[in-house]
Amino acid sequence: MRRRWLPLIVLALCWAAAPARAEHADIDLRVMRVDSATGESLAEASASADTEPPQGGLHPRPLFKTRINQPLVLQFFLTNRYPHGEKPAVRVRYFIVREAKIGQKNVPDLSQGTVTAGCFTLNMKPHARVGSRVAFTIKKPGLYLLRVQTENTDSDHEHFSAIDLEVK
Amino acid sequence: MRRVPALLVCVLAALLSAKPAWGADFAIDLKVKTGKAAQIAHAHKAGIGSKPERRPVLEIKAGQRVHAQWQLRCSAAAQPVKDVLIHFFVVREKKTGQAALPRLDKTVTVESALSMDFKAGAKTDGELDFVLDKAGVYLVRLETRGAGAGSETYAALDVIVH
Repeated sequence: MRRRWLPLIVLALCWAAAPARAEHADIDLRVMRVDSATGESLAEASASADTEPPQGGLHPRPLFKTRINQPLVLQFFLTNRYPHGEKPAVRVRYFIVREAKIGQKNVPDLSQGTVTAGCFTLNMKPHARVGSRVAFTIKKPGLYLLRVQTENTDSDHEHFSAIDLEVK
Repeated sequence: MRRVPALLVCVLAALLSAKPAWGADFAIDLKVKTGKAAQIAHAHKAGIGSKPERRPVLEIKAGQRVHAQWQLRCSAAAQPVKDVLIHFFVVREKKTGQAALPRLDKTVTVESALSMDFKAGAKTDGELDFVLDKAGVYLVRLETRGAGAGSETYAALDVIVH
């Protein structure tokens, strides 16, 4: 196989772990308006990890304003900080879905359609990492929720990170 | 985004690739579909001396929503293989069946990765949606990294966007 530059996500996943925190997951979630030719970020918003319950988490969500049909990229890295062994079949799900208002606490019904979505299932050991970078556009104006979340961690809470998108 | 010095990256990559060959085998089902059209690709061994595979080809129209779904399972492993990176990407290429992997930079359409330990029977799966707005040829590929010499495995197919 021809040698080549390692991709961004591989680099980030190889990266030495950040200092441990009390949280069970670190999440770095970003949404970027990008230059379609180079992929370079022209404007962006970012959010870190929050927990549920309570519904909607503890922290207010950032708001990212953009326009229809602009080239956008979502990117996240999630690092497992749970130190006490491997958790089987944990899901990490991300999605962009229409919402009724900025900062709404409940997650809209994903079965009604998403702009984009993805889900990974893995046995999550301490310091395991999951990341994605997805290019997308939004065709219709409105309010949207970008969210990445853990599921099935066999815990009394789950972790997530979220950003509101206002598309004009 | 934080940046990593190139030298550090090379060292980390070398450490990952320098694992002893435990002889792990991986099975992969990678399915890509849009509407009623679908193609599925299965596992191939990667590395020096491996024979280039003939990839399935899916033809779609620009702007169609594409759904990719995969399952990767460790079918055999003499010992657990630690910290294997499962890497998925969709990137533009010059032609179908292109042998050389395109460079993955910030213009990549989709890229995802996760790290996991594998013993025989361990599995991971994933699914995601994406849209290819521009006509051209795209490579969709799922691959292991850090599984050890002789164990690196991938599944790939081409998508032609009209």
